[in-house]
Amino acid sequence: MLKMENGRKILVTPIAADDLQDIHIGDIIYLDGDLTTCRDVAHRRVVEEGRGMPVDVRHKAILHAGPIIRTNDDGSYEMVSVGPTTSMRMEKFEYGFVKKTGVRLIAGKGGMKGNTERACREFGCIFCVFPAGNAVVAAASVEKIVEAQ
Amino acid sequence: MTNDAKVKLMTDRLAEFIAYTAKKLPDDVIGKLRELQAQETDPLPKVIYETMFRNQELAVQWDRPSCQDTGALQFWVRAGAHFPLLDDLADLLREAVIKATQEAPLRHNAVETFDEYNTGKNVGKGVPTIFWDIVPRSDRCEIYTYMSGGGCSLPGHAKVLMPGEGYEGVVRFVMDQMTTYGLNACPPLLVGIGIGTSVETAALNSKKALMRPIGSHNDNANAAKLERLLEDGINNIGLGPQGMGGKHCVMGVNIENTARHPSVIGVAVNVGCWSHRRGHIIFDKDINYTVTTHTGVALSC
Ligand code: SF4
Repeated sequence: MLKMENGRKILVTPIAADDLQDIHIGDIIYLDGDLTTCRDVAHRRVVEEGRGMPVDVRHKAILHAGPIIRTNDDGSYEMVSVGPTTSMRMEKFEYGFVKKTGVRLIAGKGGMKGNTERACREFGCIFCVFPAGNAVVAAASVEKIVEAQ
Repeated sequence: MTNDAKVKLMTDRLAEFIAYTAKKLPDDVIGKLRELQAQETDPLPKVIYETMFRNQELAVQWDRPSCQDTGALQFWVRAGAHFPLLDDLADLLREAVIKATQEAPLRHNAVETFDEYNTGKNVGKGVPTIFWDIVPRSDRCEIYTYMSGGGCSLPGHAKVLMPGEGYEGVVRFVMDQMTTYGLNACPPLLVGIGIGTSVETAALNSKKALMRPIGSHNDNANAAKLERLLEDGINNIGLGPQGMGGKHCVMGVNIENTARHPSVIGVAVNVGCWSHRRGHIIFDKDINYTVTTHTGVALSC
């Protein structure tokens, strides 16, 4: 769902392909909902090894990042720090990844190339940049960690 | 104070200072980011700068490293030939890194090459990296600390040019690197350029260039001119903060140079990201310290 609040475009998961129609290059958008961190190994696992993701990201969002998570005494998790890594490393897997998982939003750092662009057009997905180096702002934006593995 | 007590004090002070630099950027970087922020008018770069400053505030408030990548630890040590702990310096730097890694905490960024396992302590074969200079007739020890992140190390490149390519060749080399890789290194960037003979002389100069304060200039007039021209040239690529477009994408261009063999010009480029975690601490023979990069540092030990 795409909602507007105080002039801000906010995407709420699950995201439909139509929700992306009003989003344009250069827009600042906010995300509210489920976000799964996922880097080289997860991409490889889905695309090269043909295995599924342990978390269903269909119509949801992924972040190219490796977070630092602390397990509290009561078994709950706390986000210590998280931030995007160079997305270009995932470029060669992204077409197959989007096709297979049905993810709608990819957040990362830097830029992507043709493979990702093609996937975005064909399957309805967008690539966004989270300003890197802001690990504490990112950690502070996490409401709850559902699962850590 | 006994030698052992001095070693312990210096280790503790360094560990605390290293952890501190992961959380707070040096004064010159903050000042430059503020200056660049004030010049941006579009909403996108403005939001990015606001996020950066909020992040730096939160990092201090929550006592956490400001960027998740706390880099590979590198030190440039300018040790006085009469500094009393010369024997112990390499070991104590290693200890300080292990301690800072636990206490900050810093991300584990030391992977043993070929064996490909992470030591989990930020130390390993030849790591932390130490660049040594011996300063004659001095009993002080000056240490530049640096966290070399993955994203900002990636654009690093060195090449030996034929002299016929001249300084135009240097400019072309630097601009090619910046247009290809600048985006992923988290601009606005500090660009360090080294000029020398072979690749490692140029590369070492380029790292030392990154330790020079932002806004300082090479004392050679031509080199200083090239710094300014390259700064304009790279800004004109238009990357802006985080590569999202904007008026400026560099915090500065610093060139360090040494003489060269007449048949070659060695050139290297090395990049520091907006989160340029450089520190500079000077110890006297009694391990009293002075920090020049960050005002208001009061170590607890
Ligand atoms: S390039 Fe710098 S700011 Fe960006 S993620 Fe790496 S260490 Fe952090």
